[in-house]
Amino acid sequence: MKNETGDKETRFMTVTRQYKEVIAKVCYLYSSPIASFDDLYQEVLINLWQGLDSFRGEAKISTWIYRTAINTCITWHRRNKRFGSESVIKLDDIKTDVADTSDTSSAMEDYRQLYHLINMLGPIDKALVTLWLDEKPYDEIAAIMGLSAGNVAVKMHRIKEKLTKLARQEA
Amino acid sequence: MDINELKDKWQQLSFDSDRLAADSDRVMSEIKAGKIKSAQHRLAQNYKRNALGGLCVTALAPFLVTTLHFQLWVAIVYGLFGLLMAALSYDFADNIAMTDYVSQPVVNAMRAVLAVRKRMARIRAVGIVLGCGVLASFFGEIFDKADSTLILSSCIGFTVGLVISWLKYRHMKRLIDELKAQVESLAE
Repeated sequence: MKNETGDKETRFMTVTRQYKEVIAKVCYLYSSPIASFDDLYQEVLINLWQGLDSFRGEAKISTWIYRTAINTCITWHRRNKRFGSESVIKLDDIKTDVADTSDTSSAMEDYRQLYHLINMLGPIDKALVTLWLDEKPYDEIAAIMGLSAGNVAVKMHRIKEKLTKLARQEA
Repeated sequence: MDINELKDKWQQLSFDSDRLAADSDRVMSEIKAGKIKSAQHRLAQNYKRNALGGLCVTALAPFLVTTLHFQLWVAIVYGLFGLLMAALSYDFADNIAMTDYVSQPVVNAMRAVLAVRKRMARIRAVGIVLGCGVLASFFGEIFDKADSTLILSSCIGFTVGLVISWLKYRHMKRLIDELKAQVESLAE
């Protein structure tokens, strides 16, 4: 029993360390004044721990991670707030790969804009955009979302149009 | 910022790795210590407590006859109401605890959450409707006794309880309608 728990713990730590950026990005997008990043991140980790035993490798592990993170954030989101309101994004823990530090504040402003734009989308569209931004192919997005690849393509087309329009309005 | 810029910015985004790793370690140790549970688990526990509350209501039924001198049928109705709500709450708690919706495809998970919320709303509606019936029988007894303190406190308690229940039901219905709209939009 102790050995099984130890194995599970090792698997959990391996998975969470490998995918921590993925989980963090999803949680940041869904964080809000009511559901903080820390709350969501913790909740996702707890759900990953609880789901680890029943994960039998039917899907890719990244698919399972994305599903768990998005479902956790969407259901938390739904319990606590109306969608459409602005998320409070703390940028303290965000790093940027921008080499020139004088451009760091400009990069941070870009991230603010990025989140502002994405947070104008509903929770499902936000999930689709997150996966697209992570360069997931449409068939993988479809597997994560439980939609057909064709449906994903149509929705992504509409979302991109909406984001382009919103970005122009903001500019 | 156009779509391609959005994607580039997203790719550049990264987080404090040490902090995230520390969070994983902390959560692991708190899970092992039994200090934290998932929101789903907490919801199930909440409904188990509700079930216990229902059983307490039933346990108080004999006192209605022995202490307040209510008619027997009122006490029986009151006791059965408590039992019914306890059974509904416990069954629901069990259902929540056993359901793994988090690792399902997002659409399936949303449908499962919608089903859960609808069931919560039904339990609440049954509670409000039957509760009003039970309270009506209560008020019949109370007005018969013509105890003004008892009448006043019962009326206040009933009104406050009804308002709170109605507000919670309305809040839940709004969440269900939003969720339903999202699930339906996925089929488009």
